[in-house]
Amino acid sequence: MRNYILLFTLFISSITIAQDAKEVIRRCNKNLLQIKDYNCKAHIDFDIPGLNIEKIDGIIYYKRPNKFRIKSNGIIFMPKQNPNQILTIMADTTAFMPVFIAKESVNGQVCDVIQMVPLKENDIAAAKIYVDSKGYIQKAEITSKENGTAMVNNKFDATSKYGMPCQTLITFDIKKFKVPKMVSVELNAKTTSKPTTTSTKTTGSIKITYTSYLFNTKLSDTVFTEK
Amino acid sequence: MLKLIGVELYKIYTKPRSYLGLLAITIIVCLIHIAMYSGGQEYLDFIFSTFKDSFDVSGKILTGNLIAFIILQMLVVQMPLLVAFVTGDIISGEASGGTLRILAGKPYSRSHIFFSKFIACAIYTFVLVVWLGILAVVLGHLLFGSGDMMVLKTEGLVVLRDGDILWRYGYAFIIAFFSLLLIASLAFCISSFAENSITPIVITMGLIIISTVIGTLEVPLFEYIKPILFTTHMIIWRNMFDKPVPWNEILLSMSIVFAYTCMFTGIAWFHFTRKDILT
Repeated sequence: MRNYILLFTLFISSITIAQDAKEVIRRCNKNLLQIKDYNCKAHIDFDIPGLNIEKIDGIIYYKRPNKFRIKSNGIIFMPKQNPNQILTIMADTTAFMPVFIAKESVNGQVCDVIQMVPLKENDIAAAKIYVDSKGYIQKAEITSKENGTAMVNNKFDATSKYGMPCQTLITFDIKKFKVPKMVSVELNAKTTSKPTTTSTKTTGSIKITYTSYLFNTKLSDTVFTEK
Repeated sequence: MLKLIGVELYKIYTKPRSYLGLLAITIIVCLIHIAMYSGGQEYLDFIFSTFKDSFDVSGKILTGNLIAFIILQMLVVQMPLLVAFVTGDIISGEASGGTLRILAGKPYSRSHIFFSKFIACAIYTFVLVVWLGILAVVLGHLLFGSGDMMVLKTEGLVVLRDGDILWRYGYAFIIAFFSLLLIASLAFCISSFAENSITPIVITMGLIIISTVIGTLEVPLFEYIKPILFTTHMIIWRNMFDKPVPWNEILLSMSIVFAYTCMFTGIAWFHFTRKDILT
């Protein structure tokens, strides 16, 4: 009899947890699902080991479900796990099952921590999102099969609309770059011999500051393909 | 002196071999431009594959700035040869032709004759570098347009923004000119000892190849020799595309290049002003 009670309690609590998680996702999507497309100005700062690149300004375009582009006059390096993957994950409610994990404080906000478990074959192995009381995603950890883990840390201000941040810091895993001397044609360069125990992985970060958001302007698909 | 320089320049102008350098540069650079225009993207995808595995790279990569840089890198070995073709012949060619004795009999000091020849060599080298600059940078911009430039290094990648590049090319060409002037002075020095025009060219090229090979091999023994090799310092122009520019390193290398140039010119002058000109 005691076992039945225990099982019943577990069953009820699991339903409650699932409902809690779904409620958090609903709260979040109340903002995000209003966005069909957006474009905004972006100022991008890079801090990537082995990559010496100056900050740059550009325009970000996004269209549901997964069209994303940064247009600028110069070269931009973005991690394979771009911040708009969160929008894609949140938009497809059938591809991921939300599981409530805990409550945690992020950027001074008490957040519900939700683990998104993929239900279908997906490049994203796991995603953990931290949602505050307004339904804003304060932080996310996205782990993909191909490209390792990316940590997305968002900041919001008074002008933030539809749950879109004014600043995002993406921290991600990268492999250490090593280019053969004959490819780089750096004839005088010394090949530094590193101990084999040293990890070939390191972390880089990119900070994007967003301004002048324009939502639902019926962006044309050509924006994402034109040169 | 100016008259003598004019005469020496006229001699260079009338010799067919003087145009070999210009022709060779034109052909090589045009071939690279054509190759890059037709299949440059595939080439760059291969070169930058290490980075494209980890990142989504957006923006124009195949730009005139990058093509000019690739051309300069490819001509590291060829340019000294082209300079040595003319400068290695300037004294020994006249010695083998029998005109040096006639020239020495004119009412000009040996030093005047010597330096007029050297200045003519420097002007020829300058013309080669300017022609290379026009073909590589100007034609590159006309064909591929302007844009950011990615500089591949063994330990990573430097991305230079469009507005931050042309001045670097300016300095890089000045450094390239002085580096080639060092080769001109070496060929000139050997030319002052030789009696035929082939020997200085062959010896100069031999020395460049040996120095380059030693500089490329990562053998502990050679690590002590590398800093004193002139070829180590001749390719310092590449550092102009670092960020920040390592000015101290560049100035040190340029001082060494300048010292070698003075040494070779000094030896040549010492020998030329004292030697018996029998032919």
